[in-house]
Amino acid sequence: MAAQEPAIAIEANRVSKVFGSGQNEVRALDDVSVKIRQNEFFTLLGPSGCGKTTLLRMVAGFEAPTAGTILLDGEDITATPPNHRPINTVFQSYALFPHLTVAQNVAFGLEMLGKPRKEISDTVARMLAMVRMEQLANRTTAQISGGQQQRVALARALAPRPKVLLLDEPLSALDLKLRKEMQIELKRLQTETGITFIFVTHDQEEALTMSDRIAVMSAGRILQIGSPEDIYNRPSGRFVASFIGESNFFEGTVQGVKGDTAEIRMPSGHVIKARLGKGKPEGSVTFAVRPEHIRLEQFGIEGTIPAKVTRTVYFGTDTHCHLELDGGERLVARLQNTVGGNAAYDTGMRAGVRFDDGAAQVLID
Amino acid sequence: MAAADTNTPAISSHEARVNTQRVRRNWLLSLPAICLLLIGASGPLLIVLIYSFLEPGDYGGVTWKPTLDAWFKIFFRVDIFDETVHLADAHLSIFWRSVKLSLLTTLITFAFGFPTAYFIATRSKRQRAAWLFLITIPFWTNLLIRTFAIMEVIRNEGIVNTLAIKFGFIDTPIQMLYTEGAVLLGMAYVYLPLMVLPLYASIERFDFRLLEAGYDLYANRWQVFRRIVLPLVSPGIVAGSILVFVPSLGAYVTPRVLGGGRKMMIGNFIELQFGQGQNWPLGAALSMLLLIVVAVALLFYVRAISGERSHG
Repeated sequence: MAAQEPAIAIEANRVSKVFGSGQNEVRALDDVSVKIRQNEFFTLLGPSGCGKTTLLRMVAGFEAPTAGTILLDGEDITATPPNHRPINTVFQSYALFPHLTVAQNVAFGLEMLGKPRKEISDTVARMLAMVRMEQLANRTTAQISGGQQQRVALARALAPRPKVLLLDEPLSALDLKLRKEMQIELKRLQTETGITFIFVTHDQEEALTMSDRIAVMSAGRILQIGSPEDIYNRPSGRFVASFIGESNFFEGTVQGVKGDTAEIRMPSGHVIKARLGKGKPEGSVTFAVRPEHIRLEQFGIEGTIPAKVTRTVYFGTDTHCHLELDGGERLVARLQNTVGGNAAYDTGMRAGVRFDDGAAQVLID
Repeated sequence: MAAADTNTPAISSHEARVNTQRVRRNWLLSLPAICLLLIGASGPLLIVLIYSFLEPGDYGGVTWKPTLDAWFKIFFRVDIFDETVHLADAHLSIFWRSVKLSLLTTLITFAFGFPTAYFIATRSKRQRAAWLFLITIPFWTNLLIRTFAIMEVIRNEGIVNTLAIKFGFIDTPIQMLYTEGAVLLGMAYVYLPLMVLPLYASIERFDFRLLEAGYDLYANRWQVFRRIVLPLVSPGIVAGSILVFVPSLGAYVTPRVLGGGRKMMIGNFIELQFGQGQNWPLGAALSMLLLIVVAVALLFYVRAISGERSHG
């Protein structure tokens, strides 16, 4: 069993961080434990103030935990200063040295490590080629665009060949098109270098497209860790379900449990099947359904829940159909637009709502 | 990627023309200032330059006979008895003392000014304003008064000696007044704010996130200071050093009061020529020499600093 377990690069062990004291005390991290595997693209995802940056800064060594330990390859590095950790950071502000050229920036870490001149210049050339910046090696950082600065920051952090690369919302300053390109670029670099990437973002799309695994954080805690599919399709709680993608939430009463499926009676009397997360729920529960997992059929068809269309909003690739169930619940269904448009449902029409099999997910909290 | 690579700034010819016109108009606006500078600064300088090549008048002033006598007298003296030429070592020692004390003043104000400026620049916005306000308080009192106050502190019957004797550290007062140390203390005290303010201005603009980037890239404290902080705040260091070194070199009041007649600096020596010495051409030549020394020193200094910056 132990041999099958993937090697762990970074482990946070029951880490807490408290800023301030007394009445001003802020608990930025609350007993967080996480194991990040080697060669993994791991994302810390959450809204601002959830503690994701604090956790990243602890791995970098800029913040000391109030309690708990940080391990690198099984070794306790909690008290190791940042300049002695083989971990580099791509800062949100890039923090490029404005008095140095692009090449000098990339060389900085290698020089501090006391590498021989030849090795430094070779590595710098290789890094600049990797991020396609060799043409601009002798520019100063003020003479290049935001996207180029971003790539220099990446090359600078990768040049010393760290065991772990930390990325603190590195794409937030870029415009949409550039951001999409950099997402692909980052994933390529991670695959090419084989370095463990820990990526911090509040952007769920970034997290879903790039990560091997995601940790969703809120209020100083990790709520769920899993692959993008896990997190999206099987959110553990209401926060995860609403923070990542959109969700419709419904209340219902558990009628019976079969394996990992529960039969839930909705207030309108309809009974639907929903997947269970952890634990065996009883009584009244909340379950979530993604808007794209809702199917609209003609009113009155067997097995559908009767509803009325209250509003439709056109979104280009799809149309959002706002509905009100006869039980009073409101929900949104996302309907893919086809060549012929999507005029089948209009405001005021009656329709039948059907949840795809496995579309409904019972939430824990 | 391609989109990012192509967005290098380009100024169209039309924009360039508009810019040139604007520059021309701005030049017109600065004409009064330029006139004032020409008349107010270059005029007197020209007079001083001309006077340095004339003969001294009997009771001050000049006689309009061209000669290089004054310039010769700065460096050499002629023995009264055998008319042999010697180096004017009295003059040279005054020069040397001036340069030495000014350099030391610059170093001392930097050593005290940098931590002070760093401290202020890293406070919260409101606290910074308060600290800067405190820094400017000495300017409210006349320089002469402040210098006499230092005199009161360090003279033989002054506060320091009296207290030291009272508590039994020493038996007889230590001679502090009328020494080079006293002049140095006075100048460092007077010029410290001139070092702190420009240093503060450039440290305040320093992006402290770069410190973390430095530590992250394996630099230790000293390397971060030497490789990141120092080059980025060097404009402040240059400005502060110039603001301290130049007036130190020409200082008059402080060496006069705290150095007495014994520890003269160039400023006092020049004053002497226009006063008791009644040798205006020598005073004029000394002034010009001081100007040249300062100009050359600045040139070298600025070049050295900017060279270091571009080489990182």
